[in-house]
Amino acid sequence: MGPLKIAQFCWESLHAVREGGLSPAATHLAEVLGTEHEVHFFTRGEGPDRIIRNVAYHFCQPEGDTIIDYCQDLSRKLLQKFHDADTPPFDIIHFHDWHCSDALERLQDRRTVMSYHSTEYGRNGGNFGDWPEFQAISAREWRCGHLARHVVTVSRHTETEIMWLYGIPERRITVIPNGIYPEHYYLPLDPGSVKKRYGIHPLAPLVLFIGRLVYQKGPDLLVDAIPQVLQRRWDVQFIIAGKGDMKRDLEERCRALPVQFTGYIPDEEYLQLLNACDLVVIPSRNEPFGLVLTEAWSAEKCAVATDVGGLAENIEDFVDGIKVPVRADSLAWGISYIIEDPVRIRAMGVAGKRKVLSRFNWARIGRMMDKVYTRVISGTDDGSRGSGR
Amino acid sequence: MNEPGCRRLCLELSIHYPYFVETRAQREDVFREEDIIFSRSQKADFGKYLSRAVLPAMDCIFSWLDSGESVSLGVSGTVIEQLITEETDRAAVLLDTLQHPSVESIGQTYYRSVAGLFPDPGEFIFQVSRHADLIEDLSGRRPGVFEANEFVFNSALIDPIRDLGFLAFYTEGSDHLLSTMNPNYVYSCHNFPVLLRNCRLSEDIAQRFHDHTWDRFPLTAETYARWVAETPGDCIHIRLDAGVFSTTGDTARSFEEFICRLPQALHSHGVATVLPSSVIGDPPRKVLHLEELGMCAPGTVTALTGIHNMHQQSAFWCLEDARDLIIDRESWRRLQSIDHFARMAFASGSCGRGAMWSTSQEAYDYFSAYLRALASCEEACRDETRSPPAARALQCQPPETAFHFHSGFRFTGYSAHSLQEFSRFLEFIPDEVFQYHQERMDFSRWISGVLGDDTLAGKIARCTQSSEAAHLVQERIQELWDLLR
Repeated sequence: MGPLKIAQFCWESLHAVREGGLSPAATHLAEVLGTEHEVHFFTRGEGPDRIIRNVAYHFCQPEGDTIIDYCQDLSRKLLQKFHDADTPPFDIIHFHDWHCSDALERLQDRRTVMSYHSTEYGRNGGNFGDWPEFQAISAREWRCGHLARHVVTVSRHTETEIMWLYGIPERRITVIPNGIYPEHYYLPLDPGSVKKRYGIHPLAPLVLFIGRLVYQKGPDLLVDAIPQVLQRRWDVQFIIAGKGDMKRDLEERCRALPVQFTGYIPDEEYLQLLNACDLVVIPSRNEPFGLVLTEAWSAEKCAVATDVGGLAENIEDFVDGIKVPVRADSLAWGISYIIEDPVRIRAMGVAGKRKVLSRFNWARIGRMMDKVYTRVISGTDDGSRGSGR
Repeated sequence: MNEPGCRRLCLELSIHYPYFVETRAQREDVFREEDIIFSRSQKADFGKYLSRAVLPAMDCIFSWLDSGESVSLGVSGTVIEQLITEETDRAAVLLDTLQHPSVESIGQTYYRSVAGLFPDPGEFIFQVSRHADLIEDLSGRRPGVFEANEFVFNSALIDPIRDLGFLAFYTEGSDHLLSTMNPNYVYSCHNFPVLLRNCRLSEDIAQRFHDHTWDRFPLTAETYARWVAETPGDCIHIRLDAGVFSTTGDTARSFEEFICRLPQALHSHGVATVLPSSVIGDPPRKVLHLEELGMCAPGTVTALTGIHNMHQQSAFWCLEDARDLIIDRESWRRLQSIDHFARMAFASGSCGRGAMWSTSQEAYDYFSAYLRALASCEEACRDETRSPPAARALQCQPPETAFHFHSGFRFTGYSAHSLQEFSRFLEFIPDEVFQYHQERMDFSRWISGVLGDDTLAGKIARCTQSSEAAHLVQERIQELWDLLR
């Protein structure tokens, strides 16, 4: 099959509006596909449409008082852009998460693929919600899964979750993990000099949390674990990087603890911290994939993570990381256990880097996605379970 | 194609007992009791080490030698001097062994010390020479292979080692670090042969042998010999610390039985025991950079050397500064032993040494005792220096008189245990920490009251920035050293 014309719908990208892990995942996928296909990326953002790294970006600025209204407007505006570029017609239209569900509904007769990077249930920490937005978003997620010709999830965990939540048959789902460019995250530097910039002793073990400070990501579990870690090892320092609605409360609880809240940090600073820290902690309550894990591994850092979702699937316990139950005392145990062994902690980081190079490189992920597109185009996707694992 | 299994094995028995510091001493004891620095029970503890660890180990070694096997011995200078001065009967046993034709002594620093981490190699060279001289006096043979302990080594020390007449050196081939490198071959660094210990096989005996939860428990000589024979490479280097023989009852009997049966089991798998000097002529497999093994470069003590936490770092800096403050060189050198630093760690022991775990409190207590001992030595020598006030200002401070940095809400996690360390911390303390202490006049009060330097205290009181204070302190430190040297 020759080069395809592919449309990607995603409400965020690395080149305009960026919210979380979805933007690098969708942007890099588009870029890797762009090396062989004609790829158009429909997303939010200011300024004129432009081509960046072989991908044609189409931007719009939606409006709306609620998230639902906002996303309806996003779909409407992106659809206009889509129709302008639909000559010759797109071979594949790929949607990332629910935000452009209205566009998917309008394009349901075309060859569509729906990627679940997470679910509303997962984002709510693995809990159902009874408020209107939760129900509206969940309904859209359900509908997307049934309208799309094929469904992709980033982990087996998410596959199971959408089968259970939305009744999507297993044969219509393919699991394709997120990829990563490890060279983007590895930075040879003197960790001591970075720690000193934060007023931390160069030899003090530094534990890093990076992510949104929301219930799903479990920063409160880490904060609860910190006093227990300090009981066993008094010199450990913590940096919690990221913003979110839990920040103020967490800061208040950490006033007398060796914890620094950086808020949002630019990419360059994140890279410095990631490479200077001794351990990355991922205390999520629900994690479809866990991009931070592959970023930590790329920087040759060991991770202590909760035994959930993509983290549970991808970490080989005590080989390239440590998995613990979703509990503060278990997190404390995991951090204390590995922070005392600098040789082993380094060995686990190096083992993670090897895994990233072999399993999560974008070229491989791109080939897996190519296979899904081929099956959708040839109309063979309904008969058998996805094989792109 | 699979690489062939090893047919040669070098076993080294390591015997070392340092002079531990007295952990029960109080600061005021110094003035009442002369010999307060090193452990009051040193002699008794050393006697226990001999009878519980060294003599059982030697019994096993004799059984090896009697059956025609070869063994290398790494005996530190501090053990030999304690044997000679205090345990003459037992000394004879060990000294006889050193002269045995099938025994090769391994060179090392006399005090098994951190001297290799000092930027100036002079002290390192002195201690290695002293140890080599002692071994030559006792055995009639000068060691040909040098061993770098606990990663305390760096590439810059290769040339001095070569100049001292050594033909190769040993270091630790931890498989955590050597993920893609086989330790069972000879390597080369700066055209000098490097032998790597097989840490996994060493730890199978030293750490896992007694572990009932180990999935290979109980380990038999036959199984172990099979592992050796199946392990790819030219020669496997195993190290056993005599301390691992320090068990009692049935456990001790099964361990000694294992060691004594090992030669026969090795032979049945076609593996011969050899001496390290017979291996160093093998063509090197590849060029090795010691930094790949976690060895440090001069001036940068990294997390994989013997110094990997901030207490060890503080103690090391104080020890380094004490070179010009402790005129009693012997005490200063005894305080260089790696074991002091191992006791300040939460976990230590690898590659043939028994694992040792400490609580934060135990590690902190030893760190405190160590600094107290160092400070006592410095105080005892102060009046003999060219400028006692300068010596007082520069000496190390145990935790009770150290400067503890605080933000107003919490302890920052680090304390200055000397004026030099104080200046290092001033370079990176957060502004709020500086302001908090400066507003309370803490800096000038500490410099005046504890260090006795009113000149510097007056200047610091007027500083508005930590960088300005750091600059002033550095200048003053230079002036004080000029007064002393």
